[in-house]
Amino acid sequence: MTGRWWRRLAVQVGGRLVLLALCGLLLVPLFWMLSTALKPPAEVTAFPPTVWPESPRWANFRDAVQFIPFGRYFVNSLIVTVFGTVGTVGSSFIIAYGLSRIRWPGRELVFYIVIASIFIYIQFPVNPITMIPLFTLFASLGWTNTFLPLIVPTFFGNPFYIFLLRQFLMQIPSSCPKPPRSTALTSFRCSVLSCCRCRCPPSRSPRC
Amino acid sequence: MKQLPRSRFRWKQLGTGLLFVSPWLIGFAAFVIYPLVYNIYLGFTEFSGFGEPTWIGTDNYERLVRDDLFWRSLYNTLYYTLLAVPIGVVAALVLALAMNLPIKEMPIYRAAIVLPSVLPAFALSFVFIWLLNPRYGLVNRALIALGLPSINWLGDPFWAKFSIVLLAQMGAGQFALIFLASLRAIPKTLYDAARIDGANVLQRFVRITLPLMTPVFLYDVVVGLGLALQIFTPAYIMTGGGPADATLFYALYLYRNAFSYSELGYAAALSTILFGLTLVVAVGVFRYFNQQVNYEVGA
Repeated sequence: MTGRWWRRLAVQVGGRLVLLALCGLLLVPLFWMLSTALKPPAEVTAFPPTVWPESPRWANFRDAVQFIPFGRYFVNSLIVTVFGTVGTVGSSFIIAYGLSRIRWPGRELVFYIVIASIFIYIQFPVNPITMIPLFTLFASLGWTNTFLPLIVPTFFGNPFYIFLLRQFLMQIPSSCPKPPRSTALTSFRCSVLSCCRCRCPPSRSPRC
Repeated sequence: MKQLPRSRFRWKQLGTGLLFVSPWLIGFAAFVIYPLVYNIYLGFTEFSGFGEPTWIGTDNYERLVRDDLFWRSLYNTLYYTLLAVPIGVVAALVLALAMNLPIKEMPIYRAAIVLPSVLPAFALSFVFIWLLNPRYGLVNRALIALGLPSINWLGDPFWAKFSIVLLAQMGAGQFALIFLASLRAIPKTLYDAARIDGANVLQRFVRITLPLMTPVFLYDVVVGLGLALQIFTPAYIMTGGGPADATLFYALYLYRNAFSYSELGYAAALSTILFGLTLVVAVGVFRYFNQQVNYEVGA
């Protein structure tokens, strides 16, 4: 009994100490980013460095926003992020659905090719292996200096997310009640809904 | 629904399946297969990015063999890969084991551990320049406070590479999440049975946990190899390839040839070699480790 008590203590106290240390290590860069962002110019190059600025200079943020066309840059990032996320999640879901919920000859083969292609998709679409031909391709389409090269490729699925979504879709029991007169499209819609709710859709629900 | 004849049914299923997968098939053809094939062709040409590429046979490859910077960048990249991949697996495993402890406020710790991995490498690189500054950085201040010698992080050939390895560990949280999922999938009954047989914590970890996590180790190693062989951003921002070309990684050298020197043909030859190298390493690792991977229980 005492042995168990000691073990609990070790996990609850020792475990917390380990977790705090790990979180500390990982959050140090973020802390230093904030600390440096608040230092007045002279204190940034003070020796020895101060851990936290003596008088935080919040005006640094105002200056940063005014010094560069911050709004424009932020909107640029937002456009690429929103379209890229919609494209990646949407297309990867459709593809993962085809690789898990529909039975068709050749499915496993395509799945293996998807998995094998993961390493080409690292840093997709801009990676050192396909960079040059894609640059000439996008240039010939007149897409250089537009957002299109960063957005359009995301609408064709990404193996990382296809793999994760497929594993998830495989877990939904295939015995989920099928809606009456189910076609590929209506059961696809059912899967989207059951993915969002993480459970079987109510049987014979008219919306599903 | 009327029963279709079996053969027509199969064709219909094939059509539906292909329809759902078609976005990936088109994308794979346009953004992977086409670039790979065109890249091999460009490797045999001289091409500045404007006009037409001119065929020069194997000149690029002959030049490559005699190019000291090519060998240097290849050596740096392999050095970095051998350092970063094992450290990455261990870091992710430690984080996953810590995240698996039965502690009430765990969601907070998990959020803190995964948070840095969603930051772009490019932003972290700028923070690391400040953090690792030999005079004004926090890391050296901490080292001095502990009575340790301060390190010229980005100015020393070894430590510059090691700094980039450290930077890569900021993304360990993402792999740790996958590890955690696999830890959770190990059936409790196995541990109970081992405990009854008298196995201690260490034995249970080595004989049950590690073998059943081999599929995710394999995944991490293959993806980690791909990431490490293509390492670019931190070197581009933090060190610019220095000091003394110690962080001139393959992708950085390739980028310079393509976009600073406008030698797209030569750069294409470089990326063809990188593709071959990555493929050989990935397939080799996969084939070697796949024999030792245990798919029977768990994820």
